[in-house]
Amino acid sequence: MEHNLNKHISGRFNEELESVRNHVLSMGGLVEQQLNLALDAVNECDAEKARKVSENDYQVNAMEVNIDEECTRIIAKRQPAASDLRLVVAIAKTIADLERIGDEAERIARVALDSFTKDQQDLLVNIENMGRQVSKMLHDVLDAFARMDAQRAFEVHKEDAKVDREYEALTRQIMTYMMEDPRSIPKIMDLIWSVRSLERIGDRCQNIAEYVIYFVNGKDIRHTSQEDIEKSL
Amino acid sequence: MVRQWFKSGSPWIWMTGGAVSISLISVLGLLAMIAWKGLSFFWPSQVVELHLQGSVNEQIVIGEIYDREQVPKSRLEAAGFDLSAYDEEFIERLLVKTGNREYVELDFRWVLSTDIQKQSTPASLAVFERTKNGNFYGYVEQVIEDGNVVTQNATERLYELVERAVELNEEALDLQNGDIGHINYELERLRLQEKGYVLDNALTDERVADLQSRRVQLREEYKVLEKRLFELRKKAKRDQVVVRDMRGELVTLPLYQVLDVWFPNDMGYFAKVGHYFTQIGKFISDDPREANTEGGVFPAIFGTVFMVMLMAVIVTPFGVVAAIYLHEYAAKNAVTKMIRIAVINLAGVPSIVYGVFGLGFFVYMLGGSIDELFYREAAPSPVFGTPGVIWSALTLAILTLPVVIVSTEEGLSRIPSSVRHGSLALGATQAETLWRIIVPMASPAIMTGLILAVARAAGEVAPLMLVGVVKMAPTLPLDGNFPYIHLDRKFMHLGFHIYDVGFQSPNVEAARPLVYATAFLLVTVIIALNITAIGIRNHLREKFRSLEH
Amino acid sequence: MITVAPEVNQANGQKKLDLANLTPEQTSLQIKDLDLYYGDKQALSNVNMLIPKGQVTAFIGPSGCGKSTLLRCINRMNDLVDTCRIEGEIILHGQNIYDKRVDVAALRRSVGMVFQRPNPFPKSIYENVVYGLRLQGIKDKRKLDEVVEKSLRGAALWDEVKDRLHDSAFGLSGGQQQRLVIARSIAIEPEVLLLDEPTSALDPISTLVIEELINDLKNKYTVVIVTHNMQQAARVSDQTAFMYMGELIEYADTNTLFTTPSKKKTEDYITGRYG
Repeated sequence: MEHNLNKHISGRFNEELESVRNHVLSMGGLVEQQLNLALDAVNECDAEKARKVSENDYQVNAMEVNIDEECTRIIAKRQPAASDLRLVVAIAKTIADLERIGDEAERIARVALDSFTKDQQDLLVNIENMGRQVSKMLHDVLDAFARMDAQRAFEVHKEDAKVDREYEALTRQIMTYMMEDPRSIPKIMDLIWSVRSLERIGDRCQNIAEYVIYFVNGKDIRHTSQEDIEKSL
Repeated sequence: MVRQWFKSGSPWIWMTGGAVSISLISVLGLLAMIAWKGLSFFWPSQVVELHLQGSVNEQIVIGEIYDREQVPKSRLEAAGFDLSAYDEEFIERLLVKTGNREYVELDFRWVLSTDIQKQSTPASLAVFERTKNGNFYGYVEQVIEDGNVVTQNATERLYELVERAVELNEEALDLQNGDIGHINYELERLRLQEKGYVLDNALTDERVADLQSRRVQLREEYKVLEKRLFELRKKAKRDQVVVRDMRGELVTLPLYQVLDVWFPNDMGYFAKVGHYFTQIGKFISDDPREANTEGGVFPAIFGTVFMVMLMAVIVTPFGVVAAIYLHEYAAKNAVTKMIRIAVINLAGVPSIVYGVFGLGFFVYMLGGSIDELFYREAAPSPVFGTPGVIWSALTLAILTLPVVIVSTEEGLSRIPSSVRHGSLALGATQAETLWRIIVPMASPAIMTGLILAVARAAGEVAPLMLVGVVKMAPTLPLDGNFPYIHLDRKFMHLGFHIYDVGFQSPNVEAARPLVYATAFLLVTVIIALNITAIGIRNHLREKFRSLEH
Repeated sequence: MITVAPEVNQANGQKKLDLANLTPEQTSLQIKDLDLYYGDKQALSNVNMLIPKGQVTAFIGPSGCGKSTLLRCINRMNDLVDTCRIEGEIILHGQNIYDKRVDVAALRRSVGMVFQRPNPFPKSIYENVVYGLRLQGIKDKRKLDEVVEKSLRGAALWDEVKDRLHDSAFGLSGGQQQRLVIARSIAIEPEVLLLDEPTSALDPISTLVIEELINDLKNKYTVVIVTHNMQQAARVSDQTAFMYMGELIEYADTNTLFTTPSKKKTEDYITGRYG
């Protein structure tokens, strides 16, 4: 089914939906930028960048509040139905996830404020790897959102499994490291948190992918097996 | 400037407003004129005594001044009057009602103002209203009670005696019209019954005896009543009054012929007002006298109202049923359209044509058939086969049928279809919906139609002259004799009364104010009928208001 | 932990019906291959649907789509239109209502109808309610009083009018008049109640009262409602049928139709797009 937001009889409704969607995309852009910045900060142990991530987080929060308000307004004034309703609901949920992703990015950036030994640096490289993967996922899911492309969203959805595997591998690695050098545990704990954050971001991207699929197909695919999803698409 | 003014629309407002004003002024002017001329007739005007000398021999004229006009001198001179002593180009001429019809050739005469030597209004001049020969003007010389001259308080005694005579006369009249009339009516019925038996070959000896005995009984009763009647009349004839008229001669007037006596020159304002309303009351409630030129118009009022109501009773169901068929049941095709056009055209047919139709169809065909079937014993005199109130009502019902049909249809089409559907959706059939919802809601429109019909019918005279109206009807269509309502009787009508009094009476001059008074009364009756109907309609409208939002 | 049975996913907890295959016990009306023509113009074409018993079914669609026409077919109000011709069947109680032997008045007694504008009769409130009963020749005062109270209570109007039953029905507000009309319809205890845009002439509050009433009515009657107001259809109905140009485009349970319609025309209509 084709989705065109611009064919409403009410031009104002078109504008409102268009604007809220654009706001979501720019919020997504900002969150993506935050994540990348945080990853860079960790990678380069750049405290300056890390501080910037933390400073920018309020913008993400403000955007969430704004978009939330817009959604409420649209529901109150336009009583959207069918795809419009699904869009608004998907947006409302998406921005909540984006905001969380923003928070996770901040948490990741916090790692960069610590100083790490050489060995620990190796771990950081692995984290960066995982980070790039997650960042790509975020990028892809935002892309799917922008294009309202269920197929693409489903691919992102499948991507999360890889991130989960990566996360498990990395956790094992970190645990080994901690057993070898118990003194490093406090610092490593921070690392664990950031890895955990990355994993959470992956999950949230998966959520957003689910919302996109819900919006496009009207099917709620949460808590359904991959095969079932594939069948229904 | 002017263009601006035209564009502003005010010329349009002025034009339309002007048209309304003209109509309004015409209506009010007409009413005011008729009312003034008609109602002033009853005001007790002054009676003057004029001493004349000049172009006529010296004489005295007593009477009411009826009219004044300016006449060119030349015309009067051409008529043989010697007016050389006067310079004016116009001479005033007075019309004087002198009454005393049996003693002067004309009870109205023209008097030249130049001939009047002296004019006075003596308080002792009396006016006698009489049952015969019109008013009598003169000075009361003697009042004779039972052969004796009344010496003390003659005037007061005169009033009392007049009143006594009037009462006795009324009593005699009641007896004559009531009980004696009833006996005559019964005797006529017995005669018809006997004739009926003869026609049916069923006249047995038994029946002859029965009829005979009833007849004898009625004759006995009649004799008793007749005796009483003669006694009353004799009593009424007891008193006289001796009056000196304008010729200076003494005239004896029997009081049983006097209806009223008054001294107009001696009356105060309130006495005049009292007299005025008494006269109006008599006009409305009395029977006409002297070939309709005097007395009241009660039978005409009664006849008009009775006939119009009878017409309304006939036309309403017919018109409503026809309208319901046309609007609710008839297919919407060319035939229905034709019928509708025919109905509307019916309203445009001249009323006299309806009269001719009524005479030919109702009176001769329908009435003739009824007589043949049910009143064979009355032949050769017709019962229904002659003009009568029922035929008048039927003729006018046909005349006003289109009005009722059109306005009922109008009302039916104004009822919102949602109400119809509401009723049908509750399981009502079309007939139930019509009867319970539609007709009650259309009743204001039906009343409107009836108002228009009544207004038209009450004013119609021409067709009635052919189918039932007469100059003088001896009995009302409603009386105390079985079957109480006599639809076969002829009746009097205010419209015809106007025509008759105004154009057919021997004394047109005397009758003119009566024409106005009757015309005013006719208008009043029509307005009263209309207001009643409008009142009912407004009540109904109030009841069914609302759905027109 | 709360376990939710998969088929009980409707908000009101009712069992989701399979509208294409209702059992005879669940069915109130069956519309079968219905075609309707006004003169030469076809107003309905090949309408097939099953209307479930004891539920509210809404017809929506743009003006002139035939939804009111379809509604009027159900109690044969279209018979009043001379040029109207109907093919196909509507089955109530196993009998085609367009059968020649059917008594139309009796049909209309069992399929009541309420119209767009409140149309009380020019009578008292009491007489309005008992109109249908009087038509049936019921004169017993006690019985009539009983029915008046029951019907007015059923239409949520009793408390507002119980002290002025013998006043003119025109004294009521628009919303009250519409409830009176509903009371008048349920006084004769129909099985099916047809509502033709019952709130389009009413203010929003009266509308809500009527909607609440519709919700109560469905326990006893099968309600079929035509409405221009999609939100209203969404609020009050269990099933919704979307019609377009005389055709039944989509017929589904309301929750599905208003969130995930399967046809594009439906989607465009309910989201306010031009197709």
